[in-house]
Amino acid sequence: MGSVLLLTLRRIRVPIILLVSVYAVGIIGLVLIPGVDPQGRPWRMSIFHAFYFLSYTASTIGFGEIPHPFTDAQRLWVSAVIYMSVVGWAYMIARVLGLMQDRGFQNALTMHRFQREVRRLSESFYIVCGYGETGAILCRALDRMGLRFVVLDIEARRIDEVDLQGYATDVPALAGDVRIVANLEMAGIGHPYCRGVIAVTSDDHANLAAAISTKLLNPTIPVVCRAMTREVAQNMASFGTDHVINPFQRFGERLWLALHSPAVYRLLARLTGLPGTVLAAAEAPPHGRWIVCGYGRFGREIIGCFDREGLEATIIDPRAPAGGDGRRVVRGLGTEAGPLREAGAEQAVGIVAGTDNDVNNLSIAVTARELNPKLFVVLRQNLEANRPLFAAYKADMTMISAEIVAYQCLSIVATPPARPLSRHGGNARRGMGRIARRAAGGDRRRGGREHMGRTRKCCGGAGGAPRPHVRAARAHARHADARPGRARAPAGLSAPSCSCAATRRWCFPRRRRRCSPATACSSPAPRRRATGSASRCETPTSAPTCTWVSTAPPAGCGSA
Amino acid sequence: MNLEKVVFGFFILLAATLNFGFVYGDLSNPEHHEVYELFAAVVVNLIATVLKFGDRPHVGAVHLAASLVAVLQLGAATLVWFFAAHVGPAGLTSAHLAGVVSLSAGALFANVVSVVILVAETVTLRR
Repeated sequence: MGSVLLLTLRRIRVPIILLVSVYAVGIIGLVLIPGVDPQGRPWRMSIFHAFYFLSYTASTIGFGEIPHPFTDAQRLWVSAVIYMSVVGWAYMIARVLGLMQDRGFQNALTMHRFQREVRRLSESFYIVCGYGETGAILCRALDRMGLRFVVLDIEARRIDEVDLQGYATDVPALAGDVRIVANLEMAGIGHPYCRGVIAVTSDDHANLAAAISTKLLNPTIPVVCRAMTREVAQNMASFGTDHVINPFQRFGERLWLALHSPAVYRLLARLTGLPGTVLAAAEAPPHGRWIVCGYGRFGREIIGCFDREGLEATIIDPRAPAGGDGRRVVRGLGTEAGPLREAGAEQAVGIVAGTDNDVNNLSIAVTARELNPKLFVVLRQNLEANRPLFAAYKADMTMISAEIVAYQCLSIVATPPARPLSRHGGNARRGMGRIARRAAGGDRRRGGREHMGRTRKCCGGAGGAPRPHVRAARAHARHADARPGRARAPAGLSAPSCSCAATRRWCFPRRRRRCSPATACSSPAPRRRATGSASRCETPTSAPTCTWVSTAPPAGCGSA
Repeated sequence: MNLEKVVFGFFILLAATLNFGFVYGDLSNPEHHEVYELFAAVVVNLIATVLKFGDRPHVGAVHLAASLVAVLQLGAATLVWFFAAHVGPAGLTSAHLAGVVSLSAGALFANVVSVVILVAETVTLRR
C-alpha cells in the first residue's frame, strides 16, 4: 500500500503546495489588514480567526463575517482570496479525479491488490496460466472441488470474466504475460502454499516459458503444461516438466485404443470418464478404409494412429504435402461432395473431420453422411461457442481439445492414482492389461496387491506397509465425516476425485457393501480388524484393506 | 543547475532558519518569540514536507520522515499556543510560551537533520 500512497501523494504535490500557499497568503492578508469592531475601535484578526474564516470561506460554506463585520479593505482582500482558494480547490479535485482514472495508477492499485490477495492465501493453491476455454473449464472444476487457484492471463477481458464467474472463493486474477517472470512471482510461484503450476495458454511458447520459470524458481512444485506440437512437448519434457498434455496426441491414443481393443477402451472410459468427455463413444470405430480431412497437427496424430493399427487412410487437405507422406491425397476442403467422392467416401468406413474450422468440420461431416450414412464420424470441435451445433450433430466421437486438456489437468491435480493409468500410451496399455485381467476375474491376488499399492499412493504416498495406508484411510474417513456436505481432502492426501471413486467402485464392490459406515472406521474395534486383515492381505482370496479405503471416499466423489 | 533542486533546497533551508528564528531567545520571554514567525515556520515546513512526497530512495524516505516529525512538533506547538491564547482564561503565560518554544525546538532538531541529509546528499553527488 505504501507505494500506492506515495504515488498518489507525489501526483498531487503541486495542488497541495498551491493550497498551502493560498491559505498562508490569505491568512497573512487578513491578519495585517485592520478591521473595526462594533464600537468603532480598531481591531486585528488573530491568526486562528483568519484560518477559521478562510477554512469556511474557501470551502464555500460561508458562515459570514465573523467575529465582526468587515471593512471594505478587508472585503477586497477576501474577494481576491476567495477566487484564489476556489481555483486551488478545483485544481486539487481535478488532479485527484484524473489520478483515479489514470491507467498507471489503476494498474498499480490492481497489482497491489493482487499481490496482497496472493500473499494472504493460507491454503494450498494452484496457479492457472491462461484463462481461455481450457482454463475456464479447469477453474470451474477446481472451484467445485474446493481448491484454491490464482489466474494469470494476458488479456484483461478474460480477467474480467473471472470476476463475473462468481466462484465460491475469491480468485486472485491478474492480467499479465506469463512469459514475464515477475508476473509469475506475483502470482505466488514461490509461495509456501503453491501446489503447482498449470500452463494452459493458447500459446505453446508461453506455456514453455511458464514451465521453465517454475522449474528454475521453484523446482519442488509440479508443472502441468499444454503443448500443441510434439516439438514443444519434447522441449518441455527435456527440462523436467512433470506433465505435458498434447490434446491431439492424447486423442490419437484414445482413438487407437478404441480401434485396437474396444473392450479395454470402454473400460477405461468407464473408469476415468467424466461427464461429457470424448470417451463415451457408443460403438467402437470400425476397421477399414478411413478418410482424414485436414492434415495439420491433429490430422498427423490421427494418421499416426491409423498407421499403428495398419489401417489405410486417405487425406483430404488443400495444403497437403505432395505425395502425402506415401498416402493417397485428395486436394480440397472436403466440404463438397466432389473431393469426398474422389477420396472414396462411399466405400470408406469412417471419416475424421479434423480441420481447425468448426463450420468446415460440420459441413464435412454432414456431406459425408449424406454420401454414406453408415460412416463412423469423428469430429473435431475447436470453439466452445459451437458446442450446441456439435451436440445437435451427434458425431460418433467428438474431439474437444479444451476438455481433453482440462480433464487431464484435473486428473493429475486431483487424483495422483489415476496418473499411471493415463499418462502415456504405454502405461495406459499396461494398466489396461492389468485391469482387463482383474476385471475378467483372473489373478485376484496380484490385482489386490497392486490396487493396494495404488491406493496407498492415492492416500499421500505413505510407506510400504499396509499400516499407514489404513491410517490414511481413517484420516479420509474422519475428514469426510467432519464435513459431510462438501469435504476436501487434507493437503497431504488426495483430493476428492471422480476417477478415484470409479477405481474403488470397480475394485471390490462386494466388500464395500458389507462395510460399516465411515464413522466406524475411527472407532477402535474396526481399526484392529482392519489392521489384522491388512496383514492377511497376501492370502489369495482376500484383499480387505481396500474395503476400508472404500468406506471412506471423500464426499463429492460419487456425485461427480 | 536544476530549478527543482533549488526550490527543494530553498524550502528545506527556509524551514530550518524560520524555525531557528522562532526558537532563538529566552525560553519564556514573550518578547523574544514572534507568533507570526511560528506561523511562517509551519507554512514553510508544510511545503517542504509536500515537496518530499514520492521520493522512493532510502535517503528520500528519511528526508520525508524528518519533515513529518518537524510538522508534527510544530503542529503541537501551534495547538499549545492556540489553547493558551484563545481558550485558557489567563492568556499566553510564560509557562505556556515555554511549552510552545520547547516543542518548536524539537521541530528545529528534525529540520537540522533534514539539512544535514541535504548537505550529505550534495557532497556524495559531487564525488
